[in-house]
Amino acid sequence: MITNSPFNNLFIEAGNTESFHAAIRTLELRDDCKSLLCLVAENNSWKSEELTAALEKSKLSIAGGIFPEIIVEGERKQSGTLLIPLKNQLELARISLRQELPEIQKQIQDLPWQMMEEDSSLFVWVDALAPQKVPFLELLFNHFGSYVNYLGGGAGSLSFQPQPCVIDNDGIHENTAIIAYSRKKMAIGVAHGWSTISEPFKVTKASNNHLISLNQRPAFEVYREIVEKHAGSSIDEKDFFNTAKSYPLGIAKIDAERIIRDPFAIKENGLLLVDPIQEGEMVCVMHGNIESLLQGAALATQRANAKSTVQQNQLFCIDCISRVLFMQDEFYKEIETISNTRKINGALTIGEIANDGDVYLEMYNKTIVVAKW
Amino acid sequence: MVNLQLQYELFSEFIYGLSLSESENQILSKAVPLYVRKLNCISAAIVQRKDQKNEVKEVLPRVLSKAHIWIDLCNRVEKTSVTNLPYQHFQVDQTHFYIYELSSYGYLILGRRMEFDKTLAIELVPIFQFLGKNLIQAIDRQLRIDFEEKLEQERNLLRTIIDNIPFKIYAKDLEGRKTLANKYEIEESGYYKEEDVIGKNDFDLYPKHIAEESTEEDKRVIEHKESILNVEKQLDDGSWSLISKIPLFDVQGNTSGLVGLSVDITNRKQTEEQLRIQEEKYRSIIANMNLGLLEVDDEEKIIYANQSFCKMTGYSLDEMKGKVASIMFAEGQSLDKIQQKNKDRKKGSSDAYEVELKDKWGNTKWWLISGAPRYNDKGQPSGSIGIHLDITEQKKLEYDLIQSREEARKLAKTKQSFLANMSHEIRTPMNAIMGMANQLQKTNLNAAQTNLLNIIQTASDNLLVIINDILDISKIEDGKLLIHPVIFELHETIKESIETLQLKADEKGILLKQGKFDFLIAKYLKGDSSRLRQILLNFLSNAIKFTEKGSVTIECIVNNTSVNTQWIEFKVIDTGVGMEPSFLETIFDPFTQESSGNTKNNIGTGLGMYISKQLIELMQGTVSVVSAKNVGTTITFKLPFTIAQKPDIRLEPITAVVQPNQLHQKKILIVDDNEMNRLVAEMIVQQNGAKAIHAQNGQEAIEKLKNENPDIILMDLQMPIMNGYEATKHIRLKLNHSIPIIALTANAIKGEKENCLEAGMNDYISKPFKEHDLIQAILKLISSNKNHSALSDHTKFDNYHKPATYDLSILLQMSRNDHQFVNKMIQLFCDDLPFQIEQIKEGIQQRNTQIIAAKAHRLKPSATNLGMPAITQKLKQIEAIAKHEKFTDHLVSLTISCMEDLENSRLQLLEYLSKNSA
Repeated sequence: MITNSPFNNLFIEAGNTESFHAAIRTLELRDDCKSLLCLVAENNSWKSEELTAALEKSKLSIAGGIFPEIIVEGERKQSGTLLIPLKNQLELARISLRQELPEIQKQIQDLPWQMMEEDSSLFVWVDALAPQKVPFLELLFNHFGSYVNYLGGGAGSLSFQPQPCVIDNDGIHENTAIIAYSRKKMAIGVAHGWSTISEPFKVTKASNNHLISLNQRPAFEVYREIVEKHAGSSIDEKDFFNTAKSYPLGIAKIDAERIIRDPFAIKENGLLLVDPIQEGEMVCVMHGNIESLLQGAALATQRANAKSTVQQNQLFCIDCISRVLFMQDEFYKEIETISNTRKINGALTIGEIANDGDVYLEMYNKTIVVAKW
Repeated sequence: MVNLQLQYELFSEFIYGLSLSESENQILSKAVPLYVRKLNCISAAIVQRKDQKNEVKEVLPRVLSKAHIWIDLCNRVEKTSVTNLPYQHFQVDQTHFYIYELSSYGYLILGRRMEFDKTLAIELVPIFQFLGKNLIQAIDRQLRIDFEEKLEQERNLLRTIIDNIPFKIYAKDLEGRKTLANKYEIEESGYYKEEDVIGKNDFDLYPKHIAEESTEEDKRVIEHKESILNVEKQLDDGSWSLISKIPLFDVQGNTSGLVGLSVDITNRKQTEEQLRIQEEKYRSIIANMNLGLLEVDDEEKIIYANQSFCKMTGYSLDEMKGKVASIMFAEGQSLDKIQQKNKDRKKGSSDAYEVELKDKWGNTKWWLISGAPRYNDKGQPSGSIGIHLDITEQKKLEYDLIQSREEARKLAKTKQSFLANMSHEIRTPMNAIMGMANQLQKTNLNAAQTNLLNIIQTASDNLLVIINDILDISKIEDGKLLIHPVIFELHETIKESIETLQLKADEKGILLKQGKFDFLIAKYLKGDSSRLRQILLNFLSNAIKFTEKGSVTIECIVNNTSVNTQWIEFKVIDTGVGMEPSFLETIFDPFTQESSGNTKNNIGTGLGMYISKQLIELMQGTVSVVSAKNVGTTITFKLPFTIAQKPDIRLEPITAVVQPNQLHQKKILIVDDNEMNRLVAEMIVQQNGAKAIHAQNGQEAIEKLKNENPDIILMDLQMPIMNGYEATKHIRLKLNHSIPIIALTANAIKGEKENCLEAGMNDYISKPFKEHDLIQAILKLISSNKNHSALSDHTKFDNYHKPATYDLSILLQMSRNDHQFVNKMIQLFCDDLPFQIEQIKEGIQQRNTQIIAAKAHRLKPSATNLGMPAITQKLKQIEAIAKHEKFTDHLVSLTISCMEDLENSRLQLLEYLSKNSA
């Protein structure tokens, strides 16, 4: 079944490949549709090859991914596909992240659009489990800098099992990033709503997403002292995530909001984070509640609105799936907060990518991104 | 306000995050992204200031260098160098840019959306100065590394060269100890490793006398600071080395040792020595050879002459140098010849020639000169070089040889003349003797008289054989005996030979027969049948002579046959007395006869076998004899003959049948100055019914011809007043008379018969002649010439009774027996002739010799091809006279005579055509 929206977005319910084909054909017939954002909720039972066949046949440029959940007209969807038509042509590039950094850098240097126009944007969809995900983002920013907006997120499953999850016209890919260049500027607002509850600690040892020590002490030991003191209760190591989802870490940045890193497990008296952290970073333990997070959502919306023009009325959000896990049944409030006068569409991702040119490009966790175009 | 702890942590990371061992590029690639990320910048760049120019070393983001703001930033950096501020800050659009000095290295540009806290911005200054120093040190470090690498490469290169160059290279310190030695030097010292040699002096390594010599040299080099360069030295083992020793200096200019090089030049020395020996050898050869060598430049001026040349000419080299060779030695034709040769040399031509020259003292010399061009180093001709051989002696010998040959030739001619005269002088009386004897035999004689007469006749026959044999020997020895092949039937020749000797055989009561005659023998063969007959007659008559009883047999078999040739093996087998083996070896030597008790048989010259063998060999044949005393002798000879076809025209003479009184009422003019010979001939012809009239010379003969109108003339050749040739020519040309003329001559030498026929005679009989032969010859001519008359009588020819004045054999041969072609040619001639004769008549009337000569010339080939020798001869005479002489009566009479002959021939040819046209 295809559901139409006021912005001509199409939602195709899960398990109906024919509907997906029909939806793409329908959009192809529209003169004002040049490209598509294709957001798929992970609980679809579509076979990869069927989806690929439809993508390959389409004359529209299609970019997107498979995410834990998607938001369709203000509603969370754990299955189904949202097709968001774009009036401008997306220029696509696929970067394999299976290779070493110099090769990835070469792929970026060889991208066809070297001279960026200032009013342009990049959609960046990346496999959330790709080991080279963060270095890739650094290389991307080192190349294009703040001359474009960035919007995207980590695709994949909450099962954290590697699988093909980023989409372009050639199909669905694993350990890959899809970059879609749009000659249209977006208004982007980023916020998280978390606050520090500790002094900064220096990351004295870390390996990728394993935070080993803080101020030369085991990271979990430091973390537990602060959290247990703040919560007034001890951490149940067997149910660590239940506690940790309220106490993420925040990386300090000069003249910028902290970058949230989400601990999800304990390893060798250290912490396993959703995304990597580098040695030498200064981190604080953060805490928030539904209200503060909703404030963050409101702030993101406010920031996006502040930058948007009247013509930019397509409302879109990239929200972290861990915020859903934290808010649970009250997550609808966040949707309502950001929906404002319009129903919002978007994806609930594993890590968020956003930058409107103010700061260095980072992979965010537990953060909400609101975009308008 | 920046968190101070965070700021300090950043500073410490900036300072300690960069390893001191890192290279410039490593620092740049690490520092710039670090600053961007940690300082939350959106762009950063490092520019190096080098030689008053800025070079961008690193820029983030990379697309910044393509953005319009980049040029503005670069301009800002240019101006930064003249400010004294710790950093520059300015804003472009929404971006704050900071430019920091990186010590003396260059500048760092940072771009941010937010302005730096001012304190932070100032505190960053020493951090970035530190970065700059780090970069400078990294550059210095890199330069040092690069320099060391280059030094190492050069060291490796030098070591590779030293070790592999095929020279012995070593270095020594001031104490003469080796500090360096390449592998050739080590091997030469008798060691395998460098460490075995290093640190040792020459006394440790070489025999004492070598070490002393070497040490002395080293001392000289070090003390005098002078190099020993390229000194050739022969070593104990005979090998040669090229040695150099060069002093080494330290940085203060003091001698610190020496470096030595030694190259094995044994091969070169050997090659040089070989070249020197070779050069010496060639120099010696040139200097001492018996041939004169002369080199001249392109102006023919003498450059060099060897000793032999000087000796040949009498001049010294100094006397000759710079002088023009040809002018020095040659004159007249020799000078022209040499100058022409010099021109040829310039064209690259080489050859040898003989030339007559003069030496210093004016003596005439003959030189054989072999000359060739000289070339300079560019390959261009530059004069010539000549080898000269004095052939004066050879030339003298050659001249003597020519003289001798001429004398020999004259001698031979004299001999021939003598033989001819002798022959003539003997034949003449012999003719009378034999003729008279023959006549005497016809008279009534008693037995004793008959016997005496037989002796006279036999003796005469033998004498004639001797004369003929002597003539043949003379011809053979002079190489003038020629073979005249004709087509003949062998069977006939055998038959005739047997018939000739049949009487002799019958007289001795022995059987003369033809034995086996191979049926494979071709009917017609081509060969000299006359000489074959002579050989057969000789062998057969010898066989008869030496056979008392039994038989003489002649056999002919084919020995070998090819496509065109048959080898015939003839055997003359007798049952005679045979010969001793010792005599067999000399049987073919001249003047050889086996002694025999039977003096009757011991007659003859002993030349017959020799002549026969010579004739057989002249005909490319072989002969052998097998004989057994008292059993018999077999002579075998083999001759090649060409297989021939039946001739189209009859070549053999017509044999007239002699009948008594055959010459009845014929008037025969006998012309001979010898009365006896006239008498013999007269008696013979009169006995055959003819009337004889006489003339003593040619002139008389002409008168008699005019007055007596004889039927035939028997003409002697050698007569006073007018000889036979002149008389015949007169009769033919002047009188235009075609009366048959038979030459009677005692000249039996070659060419006589041809001369007679050429003069216009019809036949030839040599003296002494047989009665039968004479009558045959007369009959033959009279029977074909029953009616004749002188043209001067203005009577018409009766062509039916005239001998054929043409011979078609030439045309038949030309056309390969194509009769149609021959007829066509005859027709053309007959059609054209009246027109030509008309033209000639006009020429005579106009007294125009040119027309007469031209027409004679025009008719000559036709007359030749149609076999008209007499007419051809006349035409030749007419042409010659008309061309070179004035219009004379003789020319007119000769021309008219010739025209009449031609007309006569034309009528005969028309007759032939009417009979032979299809």
